[in-house]
Amino acid sequence: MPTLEERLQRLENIEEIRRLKIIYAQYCDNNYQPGPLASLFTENAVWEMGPLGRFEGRQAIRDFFADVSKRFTFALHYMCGHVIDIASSGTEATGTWYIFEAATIDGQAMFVAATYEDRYKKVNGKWLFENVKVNPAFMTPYESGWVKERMAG
Amino acid sequence: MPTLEERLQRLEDLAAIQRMLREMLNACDEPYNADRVAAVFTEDGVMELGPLGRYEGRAAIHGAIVDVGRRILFTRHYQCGHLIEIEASGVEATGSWYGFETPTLDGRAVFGAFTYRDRYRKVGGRWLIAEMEQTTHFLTPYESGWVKEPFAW
Repeated sequence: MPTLEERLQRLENIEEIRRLKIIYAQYCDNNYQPGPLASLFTENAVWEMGPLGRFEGRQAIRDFFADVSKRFTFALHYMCGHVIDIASSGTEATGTWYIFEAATIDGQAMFVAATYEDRYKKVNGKWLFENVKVNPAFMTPYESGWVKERMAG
Repeated sequence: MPTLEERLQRLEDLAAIQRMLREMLNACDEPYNADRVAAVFTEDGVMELGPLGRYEGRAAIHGAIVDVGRRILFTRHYQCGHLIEIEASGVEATGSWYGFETPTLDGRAVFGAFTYRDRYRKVGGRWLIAEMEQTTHFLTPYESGWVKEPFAW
């Protein structure tokens, strides 16, 4: 039987991870600030998204975000639908999310729909991303829609 | 070290503020029930909408909502990414959130994308909005998209 403390701690951990994801979205939407974004990841973290590639380690992730802002000149990351599980260790967790995104990519308005599979780790009392995997559902030019053009560039 | 009670109170306050915002947006989707929307603001509340105007005090906010309701006869408000910080006093808080809307504005289908920075105050046990500052990222006719026509008001 979990104690009151353990039950409260679990809810607090879920809230902290929810906050982490929103802060990630905000940094992305403020021109993909590479330093602040990289600081949300563990040293050996991995970020991957099919067409955009796989990046291992904080430096590679930082470099990736520095490059992304050249193509994605505008973005709004609408993060919702989270399901977060805290492991019994209390310092590891997994989560899934839905994202709907409006972005301007290479000068073109696009809608992006994707889901995330995340792994998180609590390091020195702070939750960080250990692994972020983006599964795109569509990346479509505004004028086309996902039936005519599901996965553009 | 915060007590169990204090930690639980914080989570309850976070949930109450999220719920209050959602109820305010539900009132906007009626559409634009000015009585219900204005009631969510403090007496001296401020609604700062940038190019869409600034309204100080509940009466001014009520008037603004009545005016919007003449131009927008249908809409749906989606909100997510609600980040909230409760201050040490326990009766003040700040927040930020993402909004996406599908209004019929002057008879045209429009997509609206906004972010917000708020201040909240707990009055008589109820969380209210002391200030809501909206940033418009785009308000674009359905036929155009935000690259071709970012702002149509």
